[in-house]
Amino acid sequence: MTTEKDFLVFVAGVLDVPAESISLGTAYESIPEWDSVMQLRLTLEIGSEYDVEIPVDEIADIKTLGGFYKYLTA
Amino acid sequence: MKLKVHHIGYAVPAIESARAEFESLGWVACSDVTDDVSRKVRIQFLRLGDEVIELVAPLTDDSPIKKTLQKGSGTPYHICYEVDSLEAAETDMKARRFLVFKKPAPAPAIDNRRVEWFFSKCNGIVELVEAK
Repeated sequence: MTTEKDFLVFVAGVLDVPAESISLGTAYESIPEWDSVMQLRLTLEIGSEYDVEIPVDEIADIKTLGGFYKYLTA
Repeated sequence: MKLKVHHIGYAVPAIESARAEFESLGWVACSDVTDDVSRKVRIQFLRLGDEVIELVAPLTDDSPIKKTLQKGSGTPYHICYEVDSLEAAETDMKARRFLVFKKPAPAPAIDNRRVEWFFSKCNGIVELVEAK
């Protein structure tokens, strides 16, 4: 199982920010790097990296990095 | 999968002022302005020769297109391809690792033809419209 730390390191790479600057509580648009296009890229990259499919209707409802992480632990 | 470019989508602050600027470059309106209430945008198509662009402006204060405007300025932000069948195209797009982020739905500005939205890291936002 992917740890929170490993997940955040991966996401930090996508966002191009230091891993220590984000947490599962980091919220959509709370950092300039996470805008509406990055929301799509995170969905794509997390889905590919961890082989999970996030339902189309739920993408817009994900408001924190923890919201993505829950799909890895479901 | 056979793709035909249908249009390039331009996010603009307002239809009228954007249309005037594009007209000064030779573009000509080829549709009426449509208020797409469900998507919260105003849309008008312009043509220059064989090329078509879609002006997309906010219809409401919470319109999602507002986030696409770059510091209030217009910008191209998607390409739309025409396909014969959305279902067949979706299968092909998924095989190419495109993310579906909006399911097929009618587009009032394109004669209520069905459109579907995709995203990939390198292509960005791609719209598919089903042929008549």
